[in-house]
Amino acid sequence: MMLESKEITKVFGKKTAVDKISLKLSPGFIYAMLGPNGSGKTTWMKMAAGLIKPTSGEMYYDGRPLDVASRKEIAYMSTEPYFYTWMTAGDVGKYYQDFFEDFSMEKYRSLLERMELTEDLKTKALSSGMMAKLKIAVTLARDARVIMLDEPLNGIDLLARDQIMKCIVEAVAPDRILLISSHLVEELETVADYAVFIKKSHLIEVRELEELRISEGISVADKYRQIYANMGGENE
Amino acid sequence: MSKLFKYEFRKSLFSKLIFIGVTAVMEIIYLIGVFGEYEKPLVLGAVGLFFTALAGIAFIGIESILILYRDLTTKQSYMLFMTPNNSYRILGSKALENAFSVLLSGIFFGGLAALDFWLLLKNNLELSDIINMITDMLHSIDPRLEIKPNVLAVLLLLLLCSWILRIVTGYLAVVLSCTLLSGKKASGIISFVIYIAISLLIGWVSDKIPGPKEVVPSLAFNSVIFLVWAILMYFVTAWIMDKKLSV
Amino acid sequence: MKYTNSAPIYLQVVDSIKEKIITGVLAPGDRLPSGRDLALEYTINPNTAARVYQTLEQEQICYTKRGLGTFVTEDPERIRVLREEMAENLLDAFLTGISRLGISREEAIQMIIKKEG
Repeated sequence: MMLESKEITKVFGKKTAVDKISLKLSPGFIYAMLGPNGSGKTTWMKMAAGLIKPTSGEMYYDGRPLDVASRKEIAYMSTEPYFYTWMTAGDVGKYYQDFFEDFSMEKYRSLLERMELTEDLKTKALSSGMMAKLKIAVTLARDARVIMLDEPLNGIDLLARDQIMKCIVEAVAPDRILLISSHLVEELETVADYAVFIKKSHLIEVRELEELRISEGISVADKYRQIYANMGGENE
Repeated sequence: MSKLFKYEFRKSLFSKLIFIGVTAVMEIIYLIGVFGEYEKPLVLGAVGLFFTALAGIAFIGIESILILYRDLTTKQSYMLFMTPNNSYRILGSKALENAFSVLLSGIFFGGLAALDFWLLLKNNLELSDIINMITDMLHSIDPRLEIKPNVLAVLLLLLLCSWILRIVTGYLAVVLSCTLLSGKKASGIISFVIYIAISLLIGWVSDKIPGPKEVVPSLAFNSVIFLVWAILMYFVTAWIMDKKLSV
Repeated sequence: MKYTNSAPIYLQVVDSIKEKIITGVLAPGDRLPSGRDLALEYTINPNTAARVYQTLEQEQICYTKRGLGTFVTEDPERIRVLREEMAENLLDAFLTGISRLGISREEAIQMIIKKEG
């Protein structure tokens, strides 16, 4: 039940967003996809979610080319809000229940409660922090084999961050791939198994976090500084 | 697919309610005219109802294309394309919902018109006056047309088929423009240009196809041609969505 | 918990648990949290949590009863040795640091006494 990209490339007009990235993710682990904004993390994830069609190369799920049926087992949470404007938090849950067999309303309700949200909240009126929490709640309420969270900590205050990291840790399962992108490297430092470094649309390397500390005596944040040090203004 | 259908219906619910509201207002004005025997409200109500019906049915179709455009160019696209539904189902539910809504509106407005004529007949006018009115209206479309059940039926069929074709052409134009331009700002205008081009092309090709000469068979034949085009374009559109479109 | 940047996370959690055992926060024979709960408590990866228990077991500081969980050793001798080990580690770190500053052991001892007083 691997998720794998082979030489996957996406070109938007003149800009190559993802350049021949071959990457294999295995169940049971949390992968932190790291890199400055605009380095290609989101595009890779959207290709894995089937939202963006690659220019060349291919995405494979469970050994077969990604297709519509793969979406039954792949959950993707985008950075931007995407719910219909007429929806309440409750409607969002019903929508997921209508379309995803692996969605649990019970789990959704308990996650909403932990995020201090209620079902009657109108999505239109949510602050960016509340919206971020709602997106995480509805995505993690799916018992999906692959869960991809794109910048889950964006716009979220410190206290809510702890709660969200706990939810992510709870989502770890031997038969599940978790992929989390962030430019807040330190936040993922303790929870991720592997760091996937993406720089200027290329895959630089995949490192096991503990191994990095053992062999090189450095944290993932240190490694991040090494890799992206000379990028100047593009770095956050 | 019933679930997709349900959410498609929900997306256009607001504008449908507005048209129902406007219709209700016009109907009240008309009824005041009928029962109070005032000429002005009667004419105002009748004309108002006629145009509300036309605008309503036209808007339902156009809105469906606008909704597709929004579903492809905004982040709301994820709501559809995240789900395990292929493009044939996504597009099919849109087309079916629209045909259903147009048909339902047709029945609704037709029924209302029949009721209103009947009321008028009971209270004011002679039947022959009304028949003359409708005949005049039909003659303005095509002088060969007469009020016969088979002519009316085939005319309605033609209207529905040509309308469905227009909507599906709109879908194709939007999908093509979004695929080629991947959501850039001008894609709305480009969609419109593509729409005109496809419509002209279809018209040109359709004219080359020989068909029967008599009124009823020729209208029926044209309906079938329109429907074949619509189905063809539905498959082309869904194929492009499945294989090429990035949202 | 705050983690330092250089040592592996699992060793830092191992040290934290050892400290709890030495200071008596965890008594001999106490049941330790499940791997998942430990992960949540320290906000670490469950795989790291499993590695923490593996290490503690290898060092015979904990033992696992099948189906019941992981428990703190009931061997007082092991805890006494553990206390010495950790003290030694701290002392080593201290001495390395102080000698790097060019301070002699005698001077350092004087400084400690003065600080205490």
